Amino acid sequence: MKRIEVVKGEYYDSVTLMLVAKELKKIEGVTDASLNMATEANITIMRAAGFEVDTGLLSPDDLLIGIDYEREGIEDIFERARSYLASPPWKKEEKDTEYSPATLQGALSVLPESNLALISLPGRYAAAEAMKALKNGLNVMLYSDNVTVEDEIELKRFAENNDLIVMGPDCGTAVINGKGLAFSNVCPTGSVGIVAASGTGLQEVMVQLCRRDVGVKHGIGTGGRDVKKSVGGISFLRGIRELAKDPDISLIVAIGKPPAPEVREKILACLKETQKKSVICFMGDDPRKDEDKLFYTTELEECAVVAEALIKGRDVSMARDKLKAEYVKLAEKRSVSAVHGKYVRGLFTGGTLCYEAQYIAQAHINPIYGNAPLREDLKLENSLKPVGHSFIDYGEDEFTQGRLHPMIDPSFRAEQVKQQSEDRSVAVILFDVVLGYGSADNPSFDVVEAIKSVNRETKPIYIAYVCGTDGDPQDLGRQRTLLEEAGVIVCESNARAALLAASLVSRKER
Amino acid sequence: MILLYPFQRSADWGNKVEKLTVRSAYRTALNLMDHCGRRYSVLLDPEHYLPRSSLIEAFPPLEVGQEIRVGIDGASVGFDPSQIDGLRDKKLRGLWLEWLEFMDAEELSYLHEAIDEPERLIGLGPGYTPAGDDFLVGWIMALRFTGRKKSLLTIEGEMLDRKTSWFSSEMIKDALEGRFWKRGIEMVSAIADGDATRVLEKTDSITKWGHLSGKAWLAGLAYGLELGE
Repeated sequence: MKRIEVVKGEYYDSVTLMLVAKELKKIEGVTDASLNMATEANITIMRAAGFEVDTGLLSPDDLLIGIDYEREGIEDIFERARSYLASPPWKKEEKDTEYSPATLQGALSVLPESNLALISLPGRYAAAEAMKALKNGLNVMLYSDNVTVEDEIELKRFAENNDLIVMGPDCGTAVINGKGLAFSNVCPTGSVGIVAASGTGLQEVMVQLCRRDVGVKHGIGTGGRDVKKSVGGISFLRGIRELAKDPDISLIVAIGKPPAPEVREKILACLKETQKKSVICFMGDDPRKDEDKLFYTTELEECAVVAEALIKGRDVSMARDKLKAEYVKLAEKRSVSAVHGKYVRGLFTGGTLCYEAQYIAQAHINPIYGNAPLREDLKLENSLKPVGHSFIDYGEDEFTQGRLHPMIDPSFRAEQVKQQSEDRSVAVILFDVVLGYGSADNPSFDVVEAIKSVNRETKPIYIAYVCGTDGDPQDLGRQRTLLEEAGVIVCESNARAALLAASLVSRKER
Repeated sequence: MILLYPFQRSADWGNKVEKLTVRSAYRTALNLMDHCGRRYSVLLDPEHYLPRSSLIEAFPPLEVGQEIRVGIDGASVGFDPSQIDGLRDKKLRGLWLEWLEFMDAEELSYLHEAIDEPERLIGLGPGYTPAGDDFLVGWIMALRFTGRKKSLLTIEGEMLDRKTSWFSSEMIKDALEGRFWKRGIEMVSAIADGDATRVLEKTDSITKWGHLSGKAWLAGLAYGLELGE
């Protein structure tokens, strides 16, 4: 029995809602529990899950509690939900946590020598706190999204005029002096400095470098909008200049989706000025020939391969050729006889990984639809109803308003894996699993459970990439094993996973 | 009559055997009253030191109302409730400012309305030591700490006895006389030293003191430190 209850005018943070839902799902007989603020996007998601939502008097400040209970007494489950919200059971476990400052002033008085503030607040409050931090002489990592472009420009200009940097808004990953901030993998510290307008792009390049024994000293995230015309790459350029000044950095890597043309030119000019070797990876950008000290790449693993060659003094062309040869082998190695169905569905938690996968797959399968497609005309009307080849980024705003990012709570993406798997037209499900600090404790678990529960005669082929290192808290080996035991093909990079998925389907069609 | 022999005492407990009445008995603390109504305490844990208190290894079975004697002359001095440092710098001001925000929580919000008239704080709030009293003690301590002793001294003993519990009234009287609990003295000492690590540790333990007592006390201390800024 599926039922919705509305709690008017009560705001809860998304972590609380996720934890309450998890507690409710532990109750025998509860097959689904979903707690969401009543935003339009969340209403759509709950309806898609089969809950009847009457939008008549709802506002985004209301809480929706959706319960699917297969026994009598659903009222008791709602009562339990309300009581968990009022007095969360996990709070008891937190009782012994140590006091830490709750305000910027407090933190600064305890750590007066600090020079960076990480700000993670609902977007409408974030800009004011970021400005407060800047006025206190702190660099800012602005994790929050939903900050207006006007605020972003004001913050970045203020920072620039005061010899500071704003990383973000919507900056999910950064590494400063080898220490990861927010979503970050455990990687060695070394002589590479990265500036990235993409979070999982930065993670993937760092992970690929780590697997090649190359370390990163700084990974400066800028937020994706920084390289748009409106912001003009203020933070990206500042990041490059800072890395240029650092004597420990011998190689600069620049990563992102293609910047606005005028911003791209500024970035390239700035990189040339540094006199340091640089590797550029603007995914989807037109391929360019390498210049004196600038090396152009178009996908993230290639970017890492070229960076490795430069750091180790190896021949860059040979390194590239070797990678291409490996890609060819990878695509040819797998038989297509097990492919049933026609389409690839890419179901991602990492935005840049989704983007890169589309960019790579489009050489083999077309068109690829999505909620963040390569071309605007390929945008899905309804992200919950993919058609043809579709690649969905579940970290997009439509899925994260009042909900946790899927890298933290992978349950929603797992539900979509199950749903898509039951579509007979789907031949391959491609997905990512991102490890590291900030990500879920056991991110493969939900998706593996979803795969096991698929009720289809011949399941689709599952291809995954686990973006993580041996040092990550989730245990890379364990995550791989979990997936492989469920029949998932685990590839060594996001690019390889996308290539394999797309080539299997295209070869089958031929 | 039962005779107790503590091994350690606070500096303000005179060197004589007192005849005292058991007012309340807990697992780790025994509160006693002399013929003038002043509180004395015998404790098991030195962390709970307060004015006119002493430490003992174990309590005999005692009942409320029972008369006992405490042989204090052999006990060494382990704590001085009037030993307060002076505030030397305001390095940690940002931290104590956030203690004021404890009053923004619904359960302590009533303090806001009372702080304009300190008398209204007396006995305000539920509990053994009402939050208003804890706030007041923190406030008085801040005034001592910053050398502004005369403020708030208009509060009279009779008013305290009338408006709040005996134990709480005694706590405020001690504060007005310049004698404080060990946990408070350690906190202001850490603030005086500008030692952020100790202040955070003390904040942690004080916020866990009672249901709301610690938070109300910290808010009062911060309010007192800010008053007259």
